[in-house]
Amino acid sequence: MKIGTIDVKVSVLAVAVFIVFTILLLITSIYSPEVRASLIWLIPCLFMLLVIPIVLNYMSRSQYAELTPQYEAEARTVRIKLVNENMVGKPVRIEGVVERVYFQFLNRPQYLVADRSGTISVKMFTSPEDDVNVNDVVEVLGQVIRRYIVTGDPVINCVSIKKIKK
Amino acid sequence: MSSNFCAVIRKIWSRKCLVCTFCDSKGGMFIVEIPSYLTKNRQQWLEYAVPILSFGGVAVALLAEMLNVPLDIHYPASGCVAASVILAYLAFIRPRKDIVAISTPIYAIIFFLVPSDSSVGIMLMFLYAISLTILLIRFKLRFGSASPVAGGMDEGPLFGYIARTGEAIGSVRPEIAADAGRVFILFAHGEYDMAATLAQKNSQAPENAVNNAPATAFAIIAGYCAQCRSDRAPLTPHRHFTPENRPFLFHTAPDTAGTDQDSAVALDNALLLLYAVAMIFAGEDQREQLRSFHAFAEKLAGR
Repeated sequence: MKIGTIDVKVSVLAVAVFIVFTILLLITSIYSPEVRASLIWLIPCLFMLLVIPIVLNYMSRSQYAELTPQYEAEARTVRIKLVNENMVGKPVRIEGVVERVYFQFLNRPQYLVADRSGTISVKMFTSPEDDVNVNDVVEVLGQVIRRYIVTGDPVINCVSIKKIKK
Repeated sequence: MSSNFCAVIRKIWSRKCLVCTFCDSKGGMFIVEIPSYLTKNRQQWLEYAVPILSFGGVAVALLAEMLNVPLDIHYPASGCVAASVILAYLAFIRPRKDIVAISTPIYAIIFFLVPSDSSVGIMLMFLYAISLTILLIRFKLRFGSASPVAGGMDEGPLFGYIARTGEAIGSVRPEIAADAGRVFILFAHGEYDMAATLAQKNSQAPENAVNNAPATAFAIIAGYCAQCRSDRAPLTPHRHFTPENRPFLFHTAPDTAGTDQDSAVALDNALLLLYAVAMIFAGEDQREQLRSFHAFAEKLAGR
């Protein structure tokens, strides 16, 4: 779904929740007259289960889209081995191969990206522009953060992940 | 092992050489001591303490019940609490933190210390002890060994390399050594512009073959920092280490010269050489500062 220039993606989880509650509402409204009487506000509430994730995704995607040019200008290309805890807060650009993909179904994907020097976790807090899969060669733009905010190994808070041809 | 080696070590770490505990000034007799032995031994004991304390608490509670000894169950339950704290500590000192193991003391306090409607029973303690043991095995398998920094800075290939480089180079002017340390720190922080400026300043006019190696290292770093400014620039250094510089390098250069891999190894070698130079020839304040970047140096060394 496209809103303006932003391609909005709804997570599988949000769709599943919507479907489950739709079925529940259908069944209960058949058997319960009280529920039938409340359908006037239950149906909008049901759609809010879909609308809220869409709006949140649109907001985060548009924010990330605004940030991308800034990161493209400021980020330095580094090898994964050079990313360390002293670089927390620094914008970086890394290139590598996607070895693993996690949590894509939540629209909060996490990638394990590798280059010849090592591997690093790349966390994204929204859905990426491209559909990135295992073995894709990608360029990642993002900021170095700690895995658990104040502690843990350095990871990349991804602003943009794009497939590149190598 | 020469006394010169010990002097270098004393200078690097500001304390007595831990490799040879007893060595005379002539560099004669010495007794080899593994410096991380105590630390590793303590960790091993702490690992054993987790099941011992938790199951020990269960055993004490069982015995008290069997012998009809009136014992408040919270006393043996404190074994589970102590085991949780130890497990959390062991998980915390690892470079990759296991958040599940770190949070176990919270659950121990909720289960065993905070007053609640449901009373603490032996079964709860037993299940908790099993959970802690499973978590201990899990984080040992999945989260590797403890932090190299915690394990000791005075061992391993990097330590040997620093000592070797100190002996091979002989002397470097303190201001160059200080700049070497600054460039390394700036690079570790990702301040590539400042690192490039400082490295460029020191990359000129080598006095002889020995001083040529640090100057080349400065030049390689300056070249890298300048190149990584532009988008997608090939990361090839302008200068290379010469065959005469080989004794001062940590990694062996690959046969394929001019490739990405070659320039990556050259950069790692340049950074490690500057780290070694600064650790040996810079002032005490800067060495102290550099010690906090030891983990980055170990990473470059491939540990």
